[in-house]
Amino acid sequence: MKIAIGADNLGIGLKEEIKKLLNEKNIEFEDVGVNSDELIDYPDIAKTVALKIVKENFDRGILICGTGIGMAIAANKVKGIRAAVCHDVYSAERSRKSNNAQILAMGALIVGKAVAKSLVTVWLKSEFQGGGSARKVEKICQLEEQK
Amino acid sequence: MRIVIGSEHAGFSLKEKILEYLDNKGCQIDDLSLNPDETSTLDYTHVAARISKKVMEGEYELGILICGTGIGMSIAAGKFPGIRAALCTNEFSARMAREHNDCNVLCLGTWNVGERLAYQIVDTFILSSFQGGRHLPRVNHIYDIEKAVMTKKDFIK
Repeated sequence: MKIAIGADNLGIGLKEEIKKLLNEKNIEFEDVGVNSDELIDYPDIAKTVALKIVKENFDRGILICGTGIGMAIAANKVKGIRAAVCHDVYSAERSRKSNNAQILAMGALIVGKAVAKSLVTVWLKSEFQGGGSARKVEKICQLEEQK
Repeated sequence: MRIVIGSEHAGFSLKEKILEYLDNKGCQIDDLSLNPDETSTLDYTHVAARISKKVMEGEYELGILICGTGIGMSIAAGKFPGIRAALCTNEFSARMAREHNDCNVLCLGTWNVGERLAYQIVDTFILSSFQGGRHLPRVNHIYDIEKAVMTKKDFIK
């Protein structure tokens, strides 16, 4: 599995914690930033991570900002991307199993590092279950074609 | 309202942020956290005891305890008669803790919640009040249980 991870300035600290977890689990990832005090807008990071998935064959993405909300909204504008803000383990699991969401968005002002790590751990091992959920996800894809 | 706060080493950073947050709102609270000299010899249990005793004796109306998960603090604080300590990870629980359970100590885990959520939980806990009514006999029953345990009386129905 290959993951792209990115954060805005508010999410840098939590991103480092999640990178440690990915390293411990020997999961390949690319950090798309931001990694400095340079001010960056969350849509820029969301776009970079989303395009890694739709254009560069990355499997999944992790996005962190203050609340995770802006990152998810921005990433979801990219065709083919399903991003979910998850701050509890059950939602993290369902975002994969039911919604086949490729991107997990989290808010560094909302969750502490231990909760964030357990979210990522569950999210990493959860896979899309297909079945009835596939039909619903397909309808989401059809919405992308709506003019 | 007289409020006191305390943390051990893990909760120190969140405790500082909450102090600053409340200070900016004009809410003064006393800080009885472990100081740097004490962190090598004292534990969360000592902070929980320090704060709980003062709330139990009426010096403060509410206490706030912060450690890594908030769990140890809530267990230790709950040992004190008259202390009802609630570990809250969301705003709803903080409101229920006050309105239904008349909790007087809020426990927070710095590894569980981020700072902004923590601010909301603290705000809600401070601004909510016990509703009494049907909840009063239940809280009174907790007092009865405390007394019965201390006097080794049978209290199980």
